[in-house]
Amino acid sequence: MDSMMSERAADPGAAAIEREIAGWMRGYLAELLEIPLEEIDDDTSFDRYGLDSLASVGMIGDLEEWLGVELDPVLASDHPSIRALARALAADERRRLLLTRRLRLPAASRP
Amino acid sequence: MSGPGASAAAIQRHYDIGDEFYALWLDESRTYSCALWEGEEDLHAAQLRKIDWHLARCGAQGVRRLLDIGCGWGALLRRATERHGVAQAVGLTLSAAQQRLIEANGRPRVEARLEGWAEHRPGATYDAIVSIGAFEHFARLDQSPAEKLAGYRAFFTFCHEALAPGGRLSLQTITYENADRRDFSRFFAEHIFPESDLPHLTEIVSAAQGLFEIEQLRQDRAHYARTARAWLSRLKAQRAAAEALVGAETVERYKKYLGLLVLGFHAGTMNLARIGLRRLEKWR
Repeated sequence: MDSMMSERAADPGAAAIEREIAGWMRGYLAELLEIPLEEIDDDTSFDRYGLDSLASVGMIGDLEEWLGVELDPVLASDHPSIRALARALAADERRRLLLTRRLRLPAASRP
Repeated sequence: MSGPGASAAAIQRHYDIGDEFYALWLDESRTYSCALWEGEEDLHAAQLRKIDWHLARCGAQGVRRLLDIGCGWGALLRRATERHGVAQAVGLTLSAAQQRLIEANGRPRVEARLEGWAEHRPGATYDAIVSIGAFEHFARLDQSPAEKLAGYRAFFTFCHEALAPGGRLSLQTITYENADRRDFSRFFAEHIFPESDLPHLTEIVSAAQGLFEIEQLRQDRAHYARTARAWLSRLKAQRAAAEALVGAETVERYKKYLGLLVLGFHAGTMNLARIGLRRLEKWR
C-alpha cells in the first residue's frame, strides 16, 4: 500500500518532514553556537558556522536520537546546510513513512 | 619503551577498556581493523576475507613460523593454524587483556606475547609476517618528520632481519590521505589514540626502500567507511548493554569516534593501505 503511494500524494508529507527537521536544526545550531534563532540561515553551510567534523558527527548523532531513526554520520558532510540536509532526509522514500510517524505528522492523503 | 611509537600505557588505555565491550560491536572473530568487502555480505565474512587476503599475500600457506605484529584478539593466529596449515603462529600485542585472552584459549600452535616488535627476539626466523592495524601506533605526534621516518625504518629493518630470505610481509594501515597531522582532529589525539600519528603512504614506501620491494598495493578507504558503519550500527543496537559495561559517556565517545572514522574515510582525509612486501636480498 505504502509503496503504491504516488510521488504526488507523498509530496506534502516530504515538505512537512523537511519543515520539521529544518526547525529542529535551527534550534540546535542556535543553542550550540549561542546565537539568536532568527540569525540562523537555512542556506549557510555548516562549515561557515564553524562546525568541524566532530561537531558535524555529533549533530547527526543528536538528530538521530531526536528522530529515532538511524542516520549515516556523513550526512551533514554530503548535505552541508540546514536546507540541503532537511531536504535530503525528507527525499528518502523508504524513510518517509517512518519519519511521518515519528514526527507525529498527519499521514499524506491516499490517492 | 615498546618501540619508537605510542607507549604500552597509551595502547592499553584504548584496547583494555574491556573485551566484552568490543565483543558487543565487533564481529564474532573480534577483528578490530578494516574488513575486505565483496558484494553484499556480513561483517564477519568480510573480516575473514581480509585475514585470508593477508595470509595469502605473505605466503603463509603451510609455513613453519608466522609472526603477527599487533595480533589483537588472535583471529588471524587462529585462522592461520586452523585453515592455512601454519605450524607455529606467534602474535605480539601491547594489550594485556588481549594477550591473556589468547593464552587462555590454550591453542597449541598459537602463542601471544605481551611485547612490541622492538623488544621481540624471534629465536628463529619467520617465514611470513603480517601486521594489521598496528603501524598507526608506530609514530608519535611529538616526533619530527625525520624521527618518524627513522621509527618506520627501524620497523622494516626488524622485519627484514626477522624474515627468512625471500619472506613476505603483509601490512595494513590507516594513512593520511588529503590531510596531515596539523588538521587532524584533536578528539582522536586526546581521547581515542593518544600519542599516535598516522603515516603518509610516501613515508611507508620511503622507509621500506632497499629492504622490501612492494609487490602489491590496495587503497581501500571505502572498505573502511563500510566497516566503521557496520561497527557503529552494531554499537547503537547494543547501546543498553554497552552502557551497562562502560557507562554512557564512553559509549557516546565511541559513537563519535566511529562516526568520525566513517566520515574521514568517506571524505578521503584518511585512506586504508594494504601492502604486500617482499624481503629484498643483498646482491652487491
